[in-house]
Parts: sequence; C-alpha cells; structure tokens
Amino acid sequence: MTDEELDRWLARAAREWRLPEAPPFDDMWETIASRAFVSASRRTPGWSVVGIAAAAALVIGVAGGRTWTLRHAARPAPIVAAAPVPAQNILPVATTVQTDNPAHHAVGELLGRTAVLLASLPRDSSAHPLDPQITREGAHLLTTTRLLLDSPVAEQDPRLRNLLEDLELVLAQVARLEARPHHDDIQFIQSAVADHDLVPRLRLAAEDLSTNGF
Amino acid sequence: MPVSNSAAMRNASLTVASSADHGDQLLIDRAIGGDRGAARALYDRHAERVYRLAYRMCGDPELARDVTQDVFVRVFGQLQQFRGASAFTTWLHRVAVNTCLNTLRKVSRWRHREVELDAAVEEAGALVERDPVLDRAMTIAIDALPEQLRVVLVMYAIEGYTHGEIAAVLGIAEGTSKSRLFDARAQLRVALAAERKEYVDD
Repeated sequence: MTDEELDRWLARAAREWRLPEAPPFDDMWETIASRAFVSASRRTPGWSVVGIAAAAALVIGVAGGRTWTLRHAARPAPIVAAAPVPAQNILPVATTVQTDNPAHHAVGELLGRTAVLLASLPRDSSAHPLDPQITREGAHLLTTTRLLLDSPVAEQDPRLRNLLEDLELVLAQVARLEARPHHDDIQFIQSAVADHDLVPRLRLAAEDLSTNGF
Repeated sequence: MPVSNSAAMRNASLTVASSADHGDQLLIDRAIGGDRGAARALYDRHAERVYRLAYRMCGDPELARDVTQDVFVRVFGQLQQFRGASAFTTWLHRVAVNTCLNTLRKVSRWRHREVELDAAVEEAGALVERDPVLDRAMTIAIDALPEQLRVVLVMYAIEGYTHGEIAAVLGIAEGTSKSRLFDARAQLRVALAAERKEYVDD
C-alpha cells in the first residue's frame, strides 16, 4: 500500500469511521451539573487528603499488625505504621502484613505502600523535579496490582477487585509521570484519588484484612 | 444526525479557538464565580468535540457519553485551578484523552474477563454484525495499534488536530507526535495489506 493509498484510506476513515450520532447533550448536561456542582461543595479540601492518607496508612499498618498479633500471639508483633514521608523513605516505611496466606500478605503490603505513595505524591507541579523513586514505586505497585487482579484473591472478593482496578488506573498514571510533571497530570491523579474515594477505601480494605482476612 | 467532522478541519481546529480563548476565559471567570449559565455555555462550546474524540477512541456511544460527562465534571471541579497558561481547549482535551485512555484500560480489562467467560467467538460475531465491512476493517486496524500510536493517529488523521496541538495535549514534543504518526502509518500499512484491493477499488 502506497502513502497515497493510505492517505485516501485515512481520509475515508475521517469521513466515515465511527462518526457518532449526536448524543443527548442536554441530558448529559443535567448529569454533569448534578455531579459537578453538588459534589463540589462536599469535596474534601486537597490539603486534608494528605492527613487522611496518613491516617489510612497508619490504620493499615495497625490493622496488619493486629492481624498478625491475633494469629501469632506468641511472637512479637513488628507493626510498621506508615505516614506521609519524603519519597526516599517510601520503601523502608512500607506497611507489612504478616499472615499465613501469601496473597493476603501481598494485598496488605500493597495497600500500605499505596497509601504511603498517595500521601507522598506532590500536591502540585513545582520547580523541583519529581523524585524518580515515586514513579519507580508506582510502576512496582502497578505490577503487583495487576498480578493480584489476575489472582484468585481478587476473583473471590468483588469489592477488593474494584479497589484494585481503581488503584491500577491511578498507579498507571503515577508510573507515567515525567521528571517534571505537567500540572494537569498531577491534578488528574489527585482528582482520580478523590473521585474514587481511594483513601477511605484503602482504610476499609485494611480493616477487612484485619478482621476477616478478606 | 451525525456529528460533523473532517481531517480538513485541521486548520480550523483548536488554534482557531485562539480568538475563542478570550471568550472561554470570560466564561471560566464567571463559572468560577458561580454562574451556572457560563458553565453551560462552556459545555455547549466544547462538548461536541470532546464527545466526538471520545467516541472515535472508544467506539461505543455509552462509553463516549460517560467519558464526556466525566471530563466536564472533572474540569468544572478543577476550574479554579486552571491557570490559563495553556488554552482552555488544550487543557480540556488533555483531560479528555487521559479520561478516554483510563476508561479504555478499565473496559478492556473488563472485556477481557467477559471474553474469557463467554468465549471470544461471540464477541467477534457481534463486531461483524454491528459494523459494515469498511468500518470493521478500520476498527480492527486502528484499534490494534499500540495506545501511544493510536491516540496520535486518531487525533491527527481522523480528528484533524495539528501536531502542535497533539504535543500540547499529550505533553510530548512535536517531533514525538510526528514520529508516532509515522510509526502508526507504517503499522497500518501492514495491517491493511490484506484489505488493500477492497478499499482502493471501492
């Protein structure tokens, strides 16, 4: 196929391929208005998300430790609680959950490390370049999330699967951040975290892990 | 009635909006001040193009509708943070592309699970039944492109964005946009080789 033929094919695609019928723009506006202008007044201020994420990370750490303590009362419980920290400390403070089930251990660790990562994300683009550890951690957690999504633990728990799917989208964005991220990319991630209530859901999932082991 | 478009719009696309940017800024200022009518006017100005891009990317009217709604909810939620450093349209379309890609990733995972459960044959059958031959060939060839190439191809060759606009929307260099288009065209040529006679003769 020559360039000219391809150009013709693409011109035809522009004219005919997936040319949408006009959607009900007025109905769509009603939905947008009800979501945008009602939820805006309820939206949590951005600065407090850091604190909530810190609290979530702490809860996850405590929950993991409590689970471990209940199951291994004879052993000392090395509870590792996480808090919003500089990026270079992400790995050392990652929450660990001690259980007999490797999948639960992986879920607990993922929840804790993700909570810490979310709390460590920049609130805005700045003159300082992004710590490369953040994107590396995002990529690592993305891989873990995808593995868990394809594992029985996600198949058996729809709520966990939904959470993992939402985390996957956010972590994919984090892993793709450039050294000097665009303001919109940061905002997009932060709003995805807020829109999907990721921090409270991380906390709930950690509580489930503590009480039920999923 | 179809939403009109042509790649020939390229010269009349986002850049023409430079004169409209001033109008956008006025509407943005009023919308931030709580003027719901101004927000609606912004939506009326841009919804059609956002929807069309979403539909071209997603290929599903319901999904495109959801994406369009999500885009505007997100944009209105962040309007106060819009710095005006880039044109509103660039920002809006950046959010639109990101939302499309995230939605597609989520849906493709879901579809993957459905296919696993229901067998791939049914989905292939539905595809053939829904689309005419040409549409089907285009859908298969374009959707088979890697995400990075597909976005640039759809934006440039199908929706008429310039490389400058694509670079601004995707946050990449203009040269990167051009090289991705080159790669997309190369892959399309291979994919369409078998269909060649049918479409050239048509």
